Amino acid sequence: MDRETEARLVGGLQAGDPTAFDEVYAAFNDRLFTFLLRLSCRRDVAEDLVEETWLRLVTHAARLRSDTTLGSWLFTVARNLHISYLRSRKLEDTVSSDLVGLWPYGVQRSSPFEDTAANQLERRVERALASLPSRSREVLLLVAAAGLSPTEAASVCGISPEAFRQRLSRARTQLTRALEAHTDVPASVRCEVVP
Amino acid sequence: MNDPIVDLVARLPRASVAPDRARRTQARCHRVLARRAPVHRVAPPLRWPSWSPALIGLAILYVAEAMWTAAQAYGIR
Repeated sequence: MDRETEARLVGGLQAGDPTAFDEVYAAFNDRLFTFLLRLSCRRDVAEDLVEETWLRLVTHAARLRSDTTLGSWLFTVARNLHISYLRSRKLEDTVSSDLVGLWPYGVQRSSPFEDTAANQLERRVERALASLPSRSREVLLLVAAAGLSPTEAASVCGISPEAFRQRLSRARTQLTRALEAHTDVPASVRCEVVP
Repeated sequence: MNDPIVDLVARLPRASVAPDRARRTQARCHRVLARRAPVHRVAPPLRWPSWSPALIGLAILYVAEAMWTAAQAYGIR
């Protein structure tokens, strides 16, 4: 989303324009939900948290600054809500992944063979990702699934870009180990990740 | 970001909120926006009618006369 569009949408939200809200919703809802789903590993929790994130946006819309970066704002709120949820439930990293619940609606594949092969890899990655500590999982998800730049992702986590880079590097190593522990990882991936 | 591990995570299918839940969320947000959207009322410009200074003058005279009379009645003046 370019700066001009973003500024227009922020202006629309400040004025309480529902069309501007719908545009922002369409642009970010799936990314926010995917982020929260893989972070919490629970569909019901992710649905509640994503709804709460949108409600926070409309409640605070009038107070948004004109130069607000919507992606960073939304993912910061979503992340904080997830942290509050973990604290309230005292779950921390003991959650188990409900892989069936992770599957999205309407994924199109060209053949049953490709479907099976792709699903096997996806399942491995999902399982490995779910086994990581939530701090590591969130940094990977912010740059990979949410599509934020490392600088934006660092501001979402409330840390410096350098600290974020280190955390991301640690997360990559953990994910590689988790993938190797589960089953084969493509060789190209494995050799590039080894420090 | 050109990183095979990050790409592996990025290639995972994106999930969607159940459609009816998404509709409910949007409707709730629209209601919140509608509640706090500014209402543009056109207020008429403030203008004194042409006869009001005369009326104010008369009122001041009346009050002054009433105070003068009251002062005389109490023997202050």
